[in-house]
Amino acid sequence: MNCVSENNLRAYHDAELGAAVDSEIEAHLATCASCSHRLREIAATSEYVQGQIESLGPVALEPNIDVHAALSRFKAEHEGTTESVPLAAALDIDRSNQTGARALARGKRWRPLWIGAVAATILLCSLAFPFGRGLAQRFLGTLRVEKIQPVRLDFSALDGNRPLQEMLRQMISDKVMVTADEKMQPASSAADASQLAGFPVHVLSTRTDAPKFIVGGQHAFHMTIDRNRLQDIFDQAGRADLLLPATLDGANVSVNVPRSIMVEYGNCPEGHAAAGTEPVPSQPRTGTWANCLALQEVPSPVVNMPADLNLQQLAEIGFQLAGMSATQARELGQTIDWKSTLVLPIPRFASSYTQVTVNGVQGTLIQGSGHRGPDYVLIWVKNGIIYGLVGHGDSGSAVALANSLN
Amino acid sequence: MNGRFSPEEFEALFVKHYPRIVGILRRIVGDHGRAEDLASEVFLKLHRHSLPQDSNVAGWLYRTATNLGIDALRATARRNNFEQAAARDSNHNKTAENGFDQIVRSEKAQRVHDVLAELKPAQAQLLLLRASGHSYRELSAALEIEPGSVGTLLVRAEEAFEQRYLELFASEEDV
Repeated sequence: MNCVSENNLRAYHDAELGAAVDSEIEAHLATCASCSHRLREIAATSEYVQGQIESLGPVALEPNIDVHAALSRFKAEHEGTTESVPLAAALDIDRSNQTGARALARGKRWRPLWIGAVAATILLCSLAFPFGRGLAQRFLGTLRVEKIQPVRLDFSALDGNRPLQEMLRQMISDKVMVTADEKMQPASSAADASQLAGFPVHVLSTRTDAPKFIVGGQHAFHMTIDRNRLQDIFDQAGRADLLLPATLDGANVSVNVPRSIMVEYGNCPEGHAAAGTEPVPSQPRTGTWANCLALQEVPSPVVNMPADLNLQQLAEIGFQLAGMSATQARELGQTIDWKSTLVLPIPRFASSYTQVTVNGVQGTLIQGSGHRGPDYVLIWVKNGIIYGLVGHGDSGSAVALANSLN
Repeated sequence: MNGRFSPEEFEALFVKHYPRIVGILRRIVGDHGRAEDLASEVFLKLHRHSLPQDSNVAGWLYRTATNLGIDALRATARRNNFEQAAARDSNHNKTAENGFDQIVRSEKAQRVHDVLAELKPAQAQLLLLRASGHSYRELSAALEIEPGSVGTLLVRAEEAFEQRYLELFASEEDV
């Protein structure tokens, strides 16, 4: 046998050649000092290099990866509008909120849907997922949002409970009827945007660059509450102890989220201004979007509910589902005016939130910080309009920017 | 759903490959969250583009993942030398209380990343996939290289790695 090729020496080292070839090579190696020497070199280098790479950590057995949660996130980000479920609108919005929570935590890009979610869809979530975010919020007669109360809620016990999520999904698809689901559309000017949306747009006077205007569509749906199914869902969530009031059964709830306007400044992630369907490249350069600023404006969503429902009671059940004790839930429930307050669930991934004064009213500044730098959202309600200011970078200027609303 | 996969097929592929793809990407970029972002991008590509009927989907996924990971690694290396240095400093501070071993580990990981970023991307890709347990046949299919040259290419890539590593860090090794 001639000398063994480098390729085969390397493959021999990795036992990739099969027994027959191996024995031929071994026979040769026994008589050829040069090939033996070369094999030792190749083996040493290989082991050195593979060892270096393996020092980067294990590649398999990621105990931290919940692949089903990842799949849900993926669908929420990329697949939402292509689902054939009739309830695409409500579900999308809810998912986008979950996505946003994680995005906030990781300093990931803001997605347009989440910006909208901040302003309006927490409310939708409440109905789309009535067990938790939902009951923690208020429905009564006709509600208009006048102020926002941030509350730290932790539904982590419910995350990853697939049967539970499936039950919710099924209930939603059975019980929710979407009556309006308009697409976003670009507007050529402030006047155009105001006309399309039906309310006058406000812009930030400290930003002198010309913004883009996008008008978000109207979304509306109604649903009939099925108490028994909800109670089954509670059981699945491990909270059979929480009993829903009988008056809840058969209640008709309707939600209308009016058209909104997004005012977008600076160099924002690609797809930001599109109809929310184009994905944003997920590797923004640090600082690239530092001048990206998005201001979302949406008139208060309107929720209609039977007036005899005890909202505080429902909210307390929701808070308990979110991990509070009965006492904590009652104390918190009593401090909130359920007729006019939107309870804003603070994503548990958010690094912090603070109460600030914006344009003379109370606002909430939620900060996230990730490896790509900080992001923030500032939310406030004034004159019936819910504002959400979303920025990349340091939140130090957020309040000043918001105060420059003309 | 675009491409040739039904939603069910796509989900099955996602569930089967996602954790390992994240694992490989985490090795490459050194950060779990970023690895998950990149993995998501890989599956988005799969979701968007139809592959030819007889494609080796697993191979395509691993090739795409390592391509994206190495691109990200190289981009970071080019862009953020300064930031990386700062991060290394802060790692020192952070890990001081966790003991010397951890400092050495993160230093070492940074060196391996530096070297991988400087290699030819195809070589880095080959090394990463081999180190994650791909057989020669799988490497050949995933990277579209001749089965009979996998050994040679591995030898070259490993020698290039070792040489570059020693050039960059020989003086600091074993200090």
